[in-house]
Amino acid sequence: MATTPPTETTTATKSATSLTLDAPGPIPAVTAEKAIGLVPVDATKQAKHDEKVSGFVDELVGLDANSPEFGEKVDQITSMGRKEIADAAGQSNRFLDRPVRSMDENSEIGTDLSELRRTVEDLDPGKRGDMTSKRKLFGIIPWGNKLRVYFDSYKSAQNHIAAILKRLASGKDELIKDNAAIAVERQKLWDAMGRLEEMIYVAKALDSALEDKSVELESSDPEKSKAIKESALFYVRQRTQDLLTQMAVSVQGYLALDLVKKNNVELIKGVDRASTTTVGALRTAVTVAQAMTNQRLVLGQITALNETTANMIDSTGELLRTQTATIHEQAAASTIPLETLQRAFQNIYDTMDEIDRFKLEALGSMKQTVNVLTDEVEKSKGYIARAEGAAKSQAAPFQAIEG
Amino acid sequence: MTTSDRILAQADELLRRVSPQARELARRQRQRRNEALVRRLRRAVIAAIAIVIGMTVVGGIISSIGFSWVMLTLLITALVGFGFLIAPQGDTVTQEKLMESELPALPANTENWLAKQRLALPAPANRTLDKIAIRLEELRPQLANLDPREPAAVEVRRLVGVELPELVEGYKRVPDHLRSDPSHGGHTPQKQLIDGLEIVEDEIGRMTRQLASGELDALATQGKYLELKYRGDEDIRN
Repeated sequence: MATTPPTETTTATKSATSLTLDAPGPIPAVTAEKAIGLVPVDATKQAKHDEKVSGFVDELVGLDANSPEFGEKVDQITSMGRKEIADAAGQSNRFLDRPVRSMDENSEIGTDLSELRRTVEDLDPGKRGDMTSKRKLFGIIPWGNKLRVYFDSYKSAQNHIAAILKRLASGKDELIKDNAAIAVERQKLWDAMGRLEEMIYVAKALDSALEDKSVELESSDPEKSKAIKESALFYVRQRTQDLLTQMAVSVQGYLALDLVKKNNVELIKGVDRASTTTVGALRTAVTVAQAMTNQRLVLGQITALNETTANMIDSTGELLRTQTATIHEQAAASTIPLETLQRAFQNIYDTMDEIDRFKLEALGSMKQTVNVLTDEVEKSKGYIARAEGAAKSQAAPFQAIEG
Repeated sequence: MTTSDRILAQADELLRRVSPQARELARRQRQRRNEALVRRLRRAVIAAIAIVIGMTVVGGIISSIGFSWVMLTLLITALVGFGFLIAPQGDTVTQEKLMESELPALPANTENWLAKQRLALPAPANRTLDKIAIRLEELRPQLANLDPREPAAVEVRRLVGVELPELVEGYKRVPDHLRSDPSHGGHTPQKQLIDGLEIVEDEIGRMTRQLASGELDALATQGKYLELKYRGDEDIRN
């Protein structure tokens, strides 16, 4: 480093512009027991379901345990919540898809960011050695101005930087789009979970009602009590388990989507900040060039881009405005303007380092979450396959006529 | 059938005929008939022109264009043109053809096929058949852009192209006199047919909704995206 800024100013600049990106922790496995109760079933619906359940149980008890009608009623239990499960399960592939795809997208942004870093490092005044001394041909003959050459390199780099910043901006748009899709998906998932929760409520109500009935009938009609326990109650419990399993997967997916969303938000902040600090550094360079060499450095591409960035998000715009004001002041007033420029570069590095740290952390928790989710989805697939099989074997309104 | 039953059935049939669905259906059938007529006319005219040109060329080659050649040409043209007009339409849909038809054409084919089956099916089923026809019409635009290998496409094809025809054919195979006798658990075959048709109608509706959900989601996502990008989200703002 050519100039070492005093520690005091460094910390001051750092705290003014410091950026902390929090990587949310991985989503732990959600057990079926914990999954219920997330989406409450409202009281009117509960009352309606209670009524339906007691009606169903009364009808079932009224039938002869050996009659086909009894069997038909029991079959109704096996297909209970089939649609709800299929609905929720249809979304599980997308849960998996989302985090995996987001990891890919992030890596694209990562490539752009590291390219930006490389380009910016080339411009770093700290890497140029002592620039205030005169440039000499063969070390003897004075040959131009080192600073002039240095600031000229900005002109050649600006197109490249502008291109990267544009790519980053469109990458950011992708992230926002991703978050919009996640918001829609989460809404749908929430609705699906509400329906599952209702079915779970019905299943539980049915369970206790059937249990009570079978106990009640134990002495008066032991055969029916046995039939209820062995067929109806057995299937109710199986279905409850299926519903709970699916619920757990859905909750897991819901949380995983939230994780992806939070990661995206953080990354958007990071990309914003990286763009702002880069543009800030370039602006500083313009001012410093003016102050030190009386050279008008025209970085039209960048400043135009800066306007759009600033308009996009108010907070960054605000930040950039105040930052630029200070930079101008410092650069104009400072006895060593290069120091200010150096600090501007340091800001970029700090941002990039923070993003790198964040990405590493986020990737870890994302991978862990995907693994847990994959396990859960796999587990639930077994249940779903069984449920589908049961449904196919008895959903035969067509064969009934042909046979 | 008692008199009151017959009166009820007739009233029911009348109500069905004047219902908006049935009128819409009849309008579409008329439109399809007109389109078919235009198609036939066009084909007949094209054939006639081709024959006149062909006969002139052949006459020129064998240099025998005389009065009798002209008369012969006219005769052949008239016969072929007439033939094209009255020729039976090639697109009578059978159950086998239904299974093979292209996915975008499937709803229309099924609708045609179903319209032909109406006479064989009991009058109470008509209302459900109307509803199915409407549902098929709603389904049609959804299938236009659907990849036939997608699971949803396979599902639609199975329901509309196989399961529905099987149900109807199954009913038709039941001897006439047994159709209103209770058989399975007190249900008459007629009732079973109607129940089955209702399930089919329901399912077509569900599938249409499901197929449309992609577009609905895309729209919702775009709206949300615009909101997040230009209005900002609390999370991004902080």
